[in-house]
Amino acid sequence: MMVQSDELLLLHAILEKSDSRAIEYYKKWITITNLDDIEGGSFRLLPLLYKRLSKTGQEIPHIEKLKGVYRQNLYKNSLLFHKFLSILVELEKREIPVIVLKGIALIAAYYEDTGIRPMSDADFLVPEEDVKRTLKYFKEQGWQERNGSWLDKPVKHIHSLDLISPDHYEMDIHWRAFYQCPWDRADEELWKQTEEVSFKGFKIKILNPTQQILHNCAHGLRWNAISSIRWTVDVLTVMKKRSDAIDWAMLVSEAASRNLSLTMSYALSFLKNEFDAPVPGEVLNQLDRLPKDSQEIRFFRVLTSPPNLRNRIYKKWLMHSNSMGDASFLIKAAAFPDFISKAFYQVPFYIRKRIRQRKIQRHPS
Amino acid sequence: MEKYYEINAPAVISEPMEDEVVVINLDNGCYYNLNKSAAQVWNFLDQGCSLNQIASHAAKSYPGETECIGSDFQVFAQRLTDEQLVREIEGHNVGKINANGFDGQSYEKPDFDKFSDMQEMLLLDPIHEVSEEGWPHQKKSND
Repeated sequence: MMVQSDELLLLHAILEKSDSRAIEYYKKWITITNLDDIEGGSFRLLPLLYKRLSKTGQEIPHIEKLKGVYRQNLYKNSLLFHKFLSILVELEKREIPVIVLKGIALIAAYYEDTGIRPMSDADFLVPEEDVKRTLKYFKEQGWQERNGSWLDKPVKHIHSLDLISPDHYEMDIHWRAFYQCPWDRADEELWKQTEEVSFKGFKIKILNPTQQILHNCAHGLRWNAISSIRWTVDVLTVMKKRSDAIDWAMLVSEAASRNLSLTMSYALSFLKNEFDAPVPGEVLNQLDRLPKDSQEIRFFRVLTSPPNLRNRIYKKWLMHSNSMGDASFLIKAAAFPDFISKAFYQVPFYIRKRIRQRKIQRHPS
Repeated sequence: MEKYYEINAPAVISEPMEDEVVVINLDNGCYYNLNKSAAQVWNFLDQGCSLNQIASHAAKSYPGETECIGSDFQVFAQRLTDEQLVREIEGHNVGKINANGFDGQSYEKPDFDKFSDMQEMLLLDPIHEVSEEGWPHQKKSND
């Protein structure tokens, strides 16, 4: 994950404690950034930027535009929360436990400001044994799969399914919390350590602060077509708000058991060096000392690099290999074709349609 | 007669933003931008103050405007009711007007802008397609 120099200026403008320095960073950023042509990842930080700069009480160039971005986000998120909190009630009626991940959880427990963090969807984690009836419920409600075929049950190599409602709301149903950890019982501890928070009159279950940091770093460092730099603000906000509740020893042991020591080492070092994050030096030393096998190193490289065909296949192989744990190479290799065939579920419908059409053209009978 | 109102929750939510208040009707997606004076009235209504109480308080801040304040506030409360943002309740005086409120600088009639096209609001580009006031105010074609 490479953070660009303009992104760093933006992050400092948001995170800087001193008003004058926040404005200074903003002015530097705005001189090299064309607001009319802003990159998606930076755009997603504009509500946070507005909130930070409006606190200074100073005259800020383009502040009305930034305020407008915040207003729109407040509007979008309000509609989104209204929709998804009612869905949580329905799932609760059906006794389906849900951990709310990412945006909604961060806004509910940490930002406490409806408009501050843009979200395109909701992310719900459900126990693997409840996925089948969860998907059945959404199918009955008219939801569709966003990228491929509808699944009736969880598939091992996929960690979530992207759904879209008839009124165009989007949601990811996860059965594994971490993309990088597709093995059985990977989230057992996580389910035992959840927290409950009140949000807009509802009680929702979220990850505890330690798991929140792990999850946001692991998700944020993955390469994304839209720069995912907001993970830095998310994680620093968790650290600032709940520093006493972070179990650093657990973070290190979870990073080890999830093969995320490289990811966490990279993420936490970056936050400490660049933003003086309150990460104990000993934690960084421990993460550095953890053994990193070649598979973890390769997976980290693939996940943090822009995708190409070779990368994609290699990533599938590493996912498959991870999901089979300690099985021998031969056993893993023998099972790979089946894995790949199931990955077909992820091929967007328009590509599958084109493939079908080609088959018909070649074999008209 | 004293008139009391309450916000039509949970369908209606409001968020303060500096000197304005944003009100959203979640049932129909309508968005309302309340001006500074309307935001003050809204906040006092939400705190349980009666409309007369609020008007008297405002009249102290704007002594030259006493006559129009009463009628302006009545009209404003009626508009809020018509938009189903608040509902009149059988009330008693639970709200207390605090010292902060109308700033007394210049009287502004309580008013709001209503935006009702949800689809348009969601799709409106808040950088390129808006006026100087920012989203949801659309850029006029000659801007």
